[in-house]
Amino acid sequence: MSDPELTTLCAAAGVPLLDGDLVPLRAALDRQRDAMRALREIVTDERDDAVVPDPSWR
Amino acid sequence: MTAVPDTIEAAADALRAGTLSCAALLDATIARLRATEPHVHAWAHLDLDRARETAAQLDAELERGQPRGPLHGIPVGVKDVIDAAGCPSEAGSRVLRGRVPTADAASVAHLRAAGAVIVGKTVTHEFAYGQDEPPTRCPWDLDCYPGGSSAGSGVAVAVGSALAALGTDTGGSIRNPASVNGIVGLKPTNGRVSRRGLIPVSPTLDQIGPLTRTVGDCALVLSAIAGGDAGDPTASPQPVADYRAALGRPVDGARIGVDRAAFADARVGAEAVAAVAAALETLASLGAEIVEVAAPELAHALPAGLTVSLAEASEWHRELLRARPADYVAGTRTLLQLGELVPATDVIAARRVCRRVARATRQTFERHRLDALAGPVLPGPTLPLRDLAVDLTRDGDAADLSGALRLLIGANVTGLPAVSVPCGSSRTGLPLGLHLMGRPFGEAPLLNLAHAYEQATDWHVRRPPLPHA
Repeated sequence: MSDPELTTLCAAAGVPLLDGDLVPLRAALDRQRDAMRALREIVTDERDDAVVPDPSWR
Repeated sequence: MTAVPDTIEAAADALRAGTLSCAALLDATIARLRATEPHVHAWAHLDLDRARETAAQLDAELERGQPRGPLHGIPVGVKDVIDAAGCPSEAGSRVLRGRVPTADAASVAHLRAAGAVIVGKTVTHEFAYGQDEPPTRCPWDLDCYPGGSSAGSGVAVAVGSALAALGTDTGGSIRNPASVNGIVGLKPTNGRVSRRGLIPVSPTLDQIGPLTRTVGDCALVLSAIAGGDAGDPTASPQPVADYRAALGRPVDGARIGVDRAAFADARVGAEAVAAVAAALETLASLGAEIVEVAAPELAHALPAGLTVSLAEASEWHRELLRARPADYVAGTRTLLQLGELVPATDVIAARRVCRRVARATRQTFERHRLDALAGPVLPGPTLPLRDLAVDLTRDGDAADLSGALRLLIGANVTGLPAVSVPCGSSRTGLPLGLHLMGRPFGEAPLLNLAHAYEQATDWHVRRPPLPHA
């Protein structure tokens, strides 16, 4: 991701950037995306995120 | 000058016998603090006037024959992300400079009610997020990293400027400094201790727990701080055991799993591998059964848990980051910016992986009928600060904090209790720790295992070589 692209992404999200922030942020973002790519390989379509009310609440 | 008893239990014995007063114990602890602090910088804020007042009140109670219990008069430190009324709680950050809470965190209130004397606040990485180099130094080697993020809590207990301290653990921040400093640290089951009054990193993963010199002391502190809390809906109403009374039971028949393949994946060094192997032999000699297992699911805990904590931390800091970005340490700011850029779809996927890790870990425990899962706390002893890369987003290098996270965050992602207990020494004399992860709300049997190991060895009686410590 280029500096202008990352700057635009941060601006769209309202994330403040100070001088010197772009290089470490891009490196961290790249590592995070790599980690998520690996994680997505093990994510199944198992849907386990429903909200189930506590049955003791009657 | 009164010598500081080594442990809570020794101090409690002396107080009960009348050979020591709360005021004398506090004075001796402060003297130790004065001698060691210029070397190790464990304390962020001291609350000595109130501590002296409290010690005097507690002595009066003893004179009236009204001891509150084993923590009566015990000097304790509190990590600077946990509120103590009237004492600055700045989370190690310029962002919160001058913040003085008016109410105690629930855990601190429990400690005060049990008779503990709050000495002050201990140094933390900024917001317990691990992206700066705090002033604290390891008393075993002043050039080395003191562990984190509960750095001051670990060091204060190691040098005796507190007999116990509270820490917080989102990915190992209690167990890591416990291992590095040669003491005991417990991350309780998620929900075992109220988090009311805690400045959070990640509400999904955060937990408050004790750092102490011995497992017995750890059990005493846990008994005081555990329990439900109407002010924290995540605090479990599960009954609180007398964790100290549960120690000393036989461990024969206990089944302890070990996944040695995971050590290699985490790049654990030869010294830590050997120390854990020796510890398991000791536990086997006490009658425990060592079971070789495979728990590959735990390798996913780091990327999944880190993704969740990135997003949650950024949610808490959202307004502060916009208002005062320059007041954050640059590395912390990077993580907070990153957390805002993680797509919601990634967070949902990561949460799903967290649940999957928890289910698979439960299956591993049930399939092998395990009482605990053992391993090293860290890939090796602490490292020289000049060699340490403080970057949580890396992939688990032994030479950076993510290497520690990789071995420890499984307990946070699964919610299981986990303890670090001293188990060895590197060739350079630095402590190594044994990690034992137990069943949910199974702190009593988990601490009993750790206590049995501790009592069969003498690693816990070693003290750092710091002058005057």
